[in-house]
Amino acid sequence: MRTKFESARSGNLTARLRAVLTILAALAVVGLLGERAAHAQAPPANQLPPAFRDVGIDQKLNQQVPLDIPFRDESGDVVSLGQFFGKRPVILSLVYYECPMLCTTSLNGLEQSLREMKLDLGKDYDVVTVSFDPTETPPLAAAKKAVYTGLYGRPGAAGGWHFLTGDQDSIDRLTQAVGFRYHYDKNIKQYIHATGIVVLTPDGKVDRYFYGIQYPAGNLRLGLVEASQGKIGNPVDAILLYCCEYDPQTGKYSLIISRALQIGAAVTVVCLGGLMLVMFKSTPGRSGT
Amino acid sequence: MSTVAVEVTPTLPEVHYLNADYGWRSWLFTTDHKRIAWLYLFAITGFFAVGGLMATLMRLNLVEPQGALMEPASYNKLFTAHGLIMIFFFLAPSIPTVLGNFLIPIMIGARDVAFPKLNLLSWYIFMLAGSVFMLAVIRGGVDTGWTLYTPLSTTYANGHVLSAAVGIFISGFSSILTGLNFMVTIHKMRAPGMTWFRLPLFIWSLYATSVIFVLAMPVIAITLALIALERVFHVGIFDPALGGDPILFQHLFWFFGHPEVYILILPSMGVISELVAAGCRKRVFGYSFVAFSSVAIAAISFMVWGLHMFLTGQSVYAGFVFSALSFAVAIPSAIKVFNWTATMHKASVSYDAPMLYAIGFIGLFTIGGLTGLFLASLGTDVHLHDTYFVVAHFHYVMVGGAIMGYLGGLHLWWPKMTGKLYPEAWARFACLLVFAGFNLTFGPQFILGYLGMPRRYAVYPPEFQVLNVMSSAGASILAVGYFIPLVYFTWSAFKGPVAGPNPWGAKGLEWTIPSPPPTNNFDVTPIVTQEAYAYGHEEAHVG
Repeated sequence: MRTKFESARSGNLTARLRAVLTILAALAVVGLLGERAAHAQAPPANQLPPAFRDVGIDQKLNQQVPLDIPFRDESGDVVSLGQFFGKRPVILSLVYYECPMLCTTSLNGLEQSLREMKLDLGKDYDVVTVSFDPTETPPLAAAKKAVYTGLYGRPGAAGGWHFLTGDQDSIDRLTQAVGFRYHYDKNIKQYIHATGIVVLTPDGKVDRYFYGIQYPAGNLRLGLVEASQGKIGNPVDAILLYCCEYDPQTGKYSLIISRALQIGAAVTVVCLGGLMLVMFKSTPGRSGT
Repeated sequence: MSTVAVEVTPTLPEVHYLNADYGWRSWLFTTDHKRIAWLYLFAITGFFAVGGLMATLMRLNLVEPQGALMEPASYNKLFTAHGLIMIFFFLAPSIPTVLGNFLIPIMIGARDVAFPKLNLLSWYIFMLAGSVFMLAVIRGGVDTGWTLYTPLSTTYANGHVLSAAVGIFISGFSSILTGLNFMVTIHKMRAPGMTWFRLPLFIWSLYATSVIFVLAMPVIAITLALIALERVFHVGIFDPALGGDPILFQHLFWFFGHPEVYILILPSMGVISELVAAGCRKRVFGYSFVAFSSVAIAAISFMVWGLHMFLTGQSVYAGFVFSALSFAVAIPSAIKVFNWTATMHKASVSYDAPMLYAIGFIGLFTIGGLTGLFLASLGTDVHLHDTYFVVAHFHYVMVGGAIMGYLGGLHLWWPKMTGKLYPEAWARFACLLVFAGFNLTFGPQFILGYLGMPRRYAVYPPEFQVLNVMSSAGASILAVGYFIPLVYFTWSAFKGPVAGPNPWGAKGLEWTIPSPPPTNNFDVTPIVTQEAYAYGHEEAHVG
């Protein structure tokens, strides 16, 4: 199966691949926390080496993910993706369970953010983790699930965090639907891939991407609240969402400068107008005669 | 000069605000609005001298096509500092903080402004701002132009943009506090009977200016804070690489910048109304039209910022609207010009120095205003944008307008401020020098701009030399014209003849009290029964 991803590449390229991998790992370790800076220094897309070009996440905002894709759950039963949708927003994480580097870091980061959030996994939202390695099996998935739901610790986690495996066809359909590009490098026997998570609306539309291996809980919460279309969250979230806008370039929620300025301007005008109004009304005797 | 009808030689009052107290503490810790006006007068005269020196150096450099004096990099820093100093540390505070501080309480029959301590605090904030800014200039300056456009001020900045911005940021607070103080004063401190429509038009224009101060100054402060946020913390606001938009800066800057232009010219228009009334000994024609045109200018000024951005790729339809609104500002401006002219109709106009400045203002402002319409037109702006035509246009408004008004006002109220007269012949001579020197300086720049000479260049093609030399020659005449009043005002403060309470035979509360006024302005709160321009039957006596 893996041969499908193999292609004839020169030894020279191997060295370059290693270099690319090193860069990827470095980026991952530093954490794409500093991604604004990294973004500023990244070379233009047309200068990327070929291996890099095959890897990435293309944003498919607002596109419907096919809900009929069959996968197997942790117990080996065949399920369709749609089973996990319908009521709550869903966080989709694409990993492979035997990944020696990024995936575990990414899952750890995800679990940490989930734990920091007050929203409850399984009650307010679901997480679907799908392996993009078609050779991986439900027992492996079950083991991962045990680890992470155990770490998360809150009741209901087992019913809310699903670890799926599937065949190449299912994997292809899902990864293409959310714009996740990766490939297998036979020399190092690893997948080369980017990391990030996707927040989907309850009806399976792509809503938000979060890049890197750590997903700030505040941002993730806003993403979930927004994706839930009002089903979860509180009035404070509503105000925050009014002032913060998801920036597709960085995958973060940032304060919309212009919105903040608009509010500041409105407050200034109202205050000054109020002052003038009060003063116009309360000059008795002075302007008489 | 209008003669004083009385035979008795006027004498100085025994105690007045200038001699009520002595020592540096009595000045630096004063809360007397009249003394604070002097503090501002000294400060802004200093800034004007520095800004003027920079202009002189620039004009000297432009005598030769390849630049006679300095490297282009130094030239860049000079015109930036010249613009910022003149706008933020001379023109914006000039009339409001000197003449406004001195006159507002007196004109409305009050003893002081509403918040005297705040008034002094404003001066200290202003001085702090000026010091921070001058420090930035001395340490190496800024080369972005006074507009501080991004990315020149952010990604590619190589001067002390941040510290200069901090100076301007601080100065904004001084203006905001002054504006608030004036607004509350005009609302709350008017003497009994001083209704809105009995107020001198100078007060109306300062009220409108104060509103702009409070609304526009926060915008520049926030804009500069955003620059700092981006440069220090790398938050993407103006830099596309960080997810920002450099054009946003221009929107913010001009949303402040255009109202700022009216901060500079509105007070001057108020002064002109007073000068014309005093010089013609007549009520200003169409008082309420002139009064409300100030308010209209203040309101429309916030809706025209896009006229500075016709060439930034903004939507054509937005351009239409901004162009139309900019033309609309011409209406209240023209109302004022026509009403001043109508006031002079069939009046016995005196040609004393204040009135000469007023007449000079009307002519120069008209040229400055009408050439603004060329720049507010979508088509002609393509040709004229960023050329010397723009430079000439705004100097006709700022120097020909605002400074002529300021100098005219100083000449009218100098006897009130000091109790002394200045030599009238010298004053008229200096006014004519200023008028001639000014036109020789900036008239050729219209032609240079039309021919295509871009602004902000240290060098130019040789065929532009004749016009540039004319301009530089005019600038030296202008400099002499500005220097002469400095000399005779200083002389007059110490040795000038005593003026008496009303040397012009003018109307208005300020002329009913001694010159210089007592610290409390009015021993008894005046009861106002007539308008500021009650030139009744006296008119018949004159001429």
